[in-house]
Amino acid sequence: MPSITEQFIEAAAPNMDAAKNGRALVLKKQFQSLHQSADESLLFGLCQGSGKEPYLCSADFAAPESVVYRCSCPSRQFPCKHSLGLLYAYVQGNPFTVAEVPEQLAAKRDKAAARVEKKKEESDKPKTVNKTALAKKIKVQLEGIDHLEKLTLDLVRLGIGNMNAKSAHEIEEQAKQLGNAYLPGAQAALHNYTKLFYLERGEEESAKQRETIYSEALDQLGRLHSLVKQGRAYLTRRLEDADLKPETETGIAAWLGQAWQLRELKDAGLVQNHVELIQLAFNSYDDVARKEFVDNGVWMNMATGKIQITQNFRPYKAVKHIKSDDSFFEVAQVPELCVYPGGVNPRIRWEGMIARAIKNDDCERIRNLGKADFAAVIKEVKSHIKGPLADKQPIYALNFSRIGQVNGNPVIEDKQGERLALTDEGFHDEPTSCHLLSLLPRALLDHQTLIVRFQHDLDQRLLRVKPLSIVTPSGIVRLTL
Amino acid sequence: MSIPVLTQVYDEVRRLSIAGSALASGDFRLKKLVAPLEQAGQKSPVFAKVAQAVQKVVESNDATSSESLLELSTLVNAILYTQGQTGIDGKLEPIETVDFGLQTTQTPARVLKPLLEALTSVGSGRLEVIKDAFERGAFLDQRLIKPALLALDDPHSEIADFVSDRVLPLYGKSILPELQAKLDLKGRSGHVRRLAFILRLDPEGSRELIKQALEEGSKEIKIQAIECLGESPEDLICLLDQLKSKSKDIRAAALRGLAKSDRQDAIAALRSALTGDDIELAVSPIRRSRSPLVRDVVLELAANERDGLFGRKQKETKEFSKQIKRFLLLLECLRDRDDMRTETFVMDCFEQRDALTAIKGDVSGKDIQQQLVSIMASGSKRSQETIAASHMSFSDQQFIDVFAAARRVWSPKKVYEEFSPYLKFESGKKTKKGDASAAKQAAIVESLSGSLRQSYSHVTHEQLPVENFSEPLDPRWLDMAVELKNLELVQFLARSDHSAANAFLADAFEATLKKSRTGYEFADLLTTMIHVGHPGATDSLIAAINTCVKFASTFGLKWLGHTIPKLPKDAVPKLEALLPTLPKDAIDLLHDYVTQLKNKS
Repeated sequence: MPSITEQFIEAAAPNMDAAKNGRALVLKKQFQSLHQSADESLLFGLCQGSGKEPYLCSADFAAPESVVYRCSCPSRQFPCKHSLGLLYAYVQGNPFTVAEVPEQLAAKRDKAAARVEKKKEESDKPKTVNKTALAKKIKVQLEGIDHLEKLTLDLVRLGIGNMNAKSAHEIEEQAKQLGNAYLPGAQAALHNYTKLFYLERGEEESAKQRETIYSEALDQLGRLHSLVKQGRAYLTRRLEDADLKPETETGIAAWLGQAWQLRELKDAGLVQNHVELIQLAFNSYDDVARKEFVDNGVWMNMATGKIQITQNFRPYKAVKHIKSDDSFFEVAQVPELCVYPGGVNPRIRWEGMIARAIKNDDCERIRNLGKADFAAVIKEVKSHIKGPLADKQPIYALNFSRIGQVNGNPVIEDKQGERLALTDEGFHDEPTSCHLLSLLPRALLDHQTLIVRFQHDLDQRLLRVKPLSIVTPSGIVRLTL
Repeated sequence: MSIPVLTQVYDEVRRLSIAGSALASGDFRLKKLVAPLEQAGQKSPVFAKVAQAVQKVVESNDATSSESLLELSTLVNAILYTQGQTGIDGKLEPIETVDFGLQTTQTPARVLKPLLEALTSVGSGRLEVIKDAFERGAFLDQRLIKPALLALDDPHSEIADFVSDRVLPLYGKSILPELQAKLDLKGRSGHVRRLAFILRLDPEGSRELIKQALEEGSKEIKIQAIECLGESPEDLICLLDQLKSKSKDIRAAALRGLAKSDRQDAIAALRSALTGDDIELAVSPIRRSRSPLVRDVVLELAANERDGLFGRKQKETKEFSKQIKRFLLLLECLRDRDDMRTETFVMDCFEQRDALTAIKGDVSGKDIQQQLVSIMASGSKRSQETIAASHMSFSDQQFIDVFAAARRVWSPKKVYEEFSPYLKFESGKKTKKGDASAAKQAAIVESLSGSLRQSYSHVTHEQLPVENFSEPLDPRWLDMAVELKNLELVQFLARSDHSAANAFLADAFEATLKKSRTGYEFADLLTTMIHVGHPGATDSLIAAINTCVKFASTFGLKWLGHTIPKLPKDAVPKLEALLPTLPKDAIDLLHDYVTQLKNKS
C-alpha cells in the first residue's frame, strides 16, 4: 500500500468541492464499513449515499502509477466523493479491516486485469478495420470539406469588413454541419475566424478593435483555404487506399478532428517507454471557439530534449465532471508516453505516472538541452510557422547570455549577440510576464535558460518571444502559471 | 529579397479581402504590381510565383475571384512569415532589478489563477479568495506583486485596504519605484493609499513628494500629505499655508498638524482658529495636544468666554447661544487633562456651577454643567474625587460620568458600597423622583454592562476613546446582579467560577430555548456562555443545534456553526458524536466548523 497524504487526495480530486464533500462523508460517518484486501492493494468500503442501498466504493492500487477508483454511485465525477472519502478515512487513521474482496469488485478487478492482458494481446495483433464503414465516413467528410470550401469562399466574397456578430453567428450555425460530417477540427477552425467578430460576452467589436483583427482574419481565411486543400487531398488518398492509416507525418488528421486513440498512436509507433518529463510552464484558458476550457502543460522530455505539450479539454457542458489539470512541480516518470503527430511541440499523453522530486541534475539537464544559437532557432521557427496549418506559437528553451533592454524594451541575447525582443503582446490567454524581469534577482538575467513562446506579429511583422520560465541550475522560476 | 513590393502586394490583398473579393477582378492597384514582381522574379522564383498569383486575381471573374484571392493571400502570408524582424538595434542596457529575494513560485495554477482574477477583476466573493491565499502564504511570489499593487485601486475598499495593510508590507521597500511610478497626485482613493504607503515606507526620502502633493495634489492627496508633515520650520510654513484653503477638510488636517507643534506661529494659528469660525475644526486636534502653551491659550480663552457669560443680558438669545456653544467647545478642548492649571480652572467653574446652571437659553446652563462634569470625570484625581463625592447631588444625565469618575478614583470596594444601593431601586410609583432613580439605575447597568463602551462627546459628537478601567469591579456586583435577576448585567459580569451565575445563565438559556424557534432568542446568552467558559456551554450549543434542526432554522444553524470554533477543543468528541445524528443538510452546514475546531492550535 503506497503512503498517501491529504495532498495526494486533493490532487486526485476533480475539483476542491469534491475533496471537501469526500471529507464530509467521513465526518458524517457515512461509511458503514472500511476494508482492505489482504495484499493491501485495494481499499474498499460501503458508503451510505442518497440511494436506498449503500454504494460500494474502492481505490485500487494494483498499479500505483494509475490508481483505479470505482464506485457504484451514479456520479459522473471521477473519482467521486465516495472514493475520495474512502481515501480520507484511510489517511485520517480510521481502522480498515482485512476482508475478502467483494465478488462484484473482484470481478471488476479480474475484468480489468483481463482487459490489460487483452489489450496487450491485441496490441500485438493488427487492428481490423471495417473498410466499408470507413469509406462511408470519408465520403461524408469529403462532403463536409466541400461545405467548408463553399463557406470559406463565401466569406472571402463577402469581405472581412462586412462581417459582424450577427453574420458570424449565422456562419457558426451553418458550420454545425461540419460537426455532423465528422470534422470537429474544421468546425473549430471556422469558429476561430468567426470569434474574431464578437467579444466573449457576445458584444460586437468596435471599429477600432476591428482594425486590429483584419490581419488575423486574413490569416485565418488562408488557414481555412489550406485546410480545405490539404484535407481534401488527404481524405481522397484514404478513400482510394482503404489500408492507408491516419497520417502521422503532419498534423492534418488532427486539424480535421481525428481523435487519436492511444492504441492508434502505439500502432503508428508514436510511443516512448520509460520517459521522464518536467513541466516548464502551465496555462489554462477559455477557448470560446471550441466552447471548452483548455489546460496546457509545457513539458521537457528529458530523453529527447523535445518540448512537448499536454492538453486537457474540458467542454463547458461537462466541466463539472472533468478533472482540471494543474501546475506540476515534480518529475513525472511515465512508463509509456504517447506522442501525437505534430510539429515543433507535439501533444503528449500518458495513462499513468509516478512522481519524484526535481534535483539539481535535472535542471542542469534541461539547461544542456536548451538552444544556444538563436539564429538557428529563428530560422527553424520561421520555416515552421510559414506553413498555414502550423502551430504559430512554438515553444523553445533558449540558453541566453543575458537579458537586458533596448530603449526600455526587454531583449534576450545569445553568446553571438543575436537578439530576440520579449513581449506580452498577442498572448491574451496567459498572464503577463515581461514585467517580472525587473522583479527577479539580477543573477537570473545572466547565463540561464529561458523557456519562450514565439509569436509573429502580422501587422508589425515582428517575430518576438514571450518569457514563460527561467531554468536555473537549482530550479525553475515560473513567470506565468 | 524585394520585400517592399511584397508588402505592397500584402496591403492590396488585405484591402480587397476587407472589401470583398468581388472587387478584385481587374483591380488596377494590384495590376500595377505585376511588372515589378516579374522583374524581381527573374532573380528569385518565388516572386514570379507571386506575380502569377496576382495576375490570376486581376484576371479573375465573379466565380473565381475568391479562390484566386485566397491563393494569393496564403502565398504572400507564408513568405512574410519568413521575413519577421527579430532583433532590436541599439545598446543593450541592463534591466534595473529590484531583488525581493527569490520568492516561491510553487503556487499551483488552481490557487494562482483565481487569485490573479480576484485581484484584477470586479465582483463579489473576491476578498475571501484573497484572504485565504494570504493565510496560505501564497503572496510570497513575484507573480503577485504587480496585481497586488494594482489592487490598491480596487473599487471594493475592503480589498484595497486589506492589500495595503497586510499584503504589500510583505514586499518591503522594493516596491517603492513601482508605487512612485503609478502615483497620480490628481487621483483619489487608490492614489491616496499609494501615497500613504510611499510615505510610510520612506518618510525621509519623500520630502519632495509631499511638497509636490501639497502644491498639485487633489483634495484627498493633499490631506494625506498634510498628515505626514512634521514639526520642522519648513513643515510649519506648509501647514500655515494650507490654513488658507477653501476646503474645510484640508484646514482640519492642517490644524491637526499644527497642534503637534509648540512653535509660536502654530500657537497663534490655533488661537486664531479658536476665536474664529474654525473653532469646531480645532477642538479635536487641540484636545490631543499635550503642549502647555496650547493649553494656556485654551484656558485663557475659556476664562474670558465664561466671564463674558455672566456679564451678558440673557435675552440676546442667538448671540448668547453662540457664546455658550463656544464655551462648551473650549471646555471640550480640556478633556483628558489632569494638570494643575486645568484643574484649577475646572474646579473654579465647578464652584460657580449654580450660577452657570442658572443661565437660560437655547443652549442653557444645564448643558454647561453636563459638559463640565464630563470634563472633570476625565480630568485630575481631585476633580474626579470632587464629583464622585457629591454623586447624590447630580441628575441622572450626569450620572454615567460621575459613576465613571468614581471607578477611576475610588477602590472597587468603595465604588460598590456607594453605588450599589442605586441598583436596588425598584420601580413603582410614577413620580419625578422615581423616574430619576430609575434613570440612575439604568445608567449604572449601562455602564457596568459595557453597552456604553463607545461614547461620544455631546458637544462635538465625536467618538471618544474606549474606556478601559484599570481596577476590576468588586466581585459583589455579580452576586447582586444574580440576586436581582438582572440577566443583562449577569451576562456582562459572568465568571466561570461563579456557580450561582452559572446556574442562573443555564436556567435562563433553558427557558429561552423552550420558547425559541429561530435561534435569534438565545444568541446573546450562548455567546456569553462560550465567552466566559461556562461549563455547560457545549451541551447548551448542542441543545440549541437540536432545536434549530427541529424547527428547520437554517439561519440559526449557520449562526451556531460560526460559534463552534470558539468552543474549547475538548468539545470535539461531543460534536463529532452529534454530527451523524443530524439531518444531512445540517451536517453539511456544520461539519466544516467542527473541522476548524479540531484543527485549532
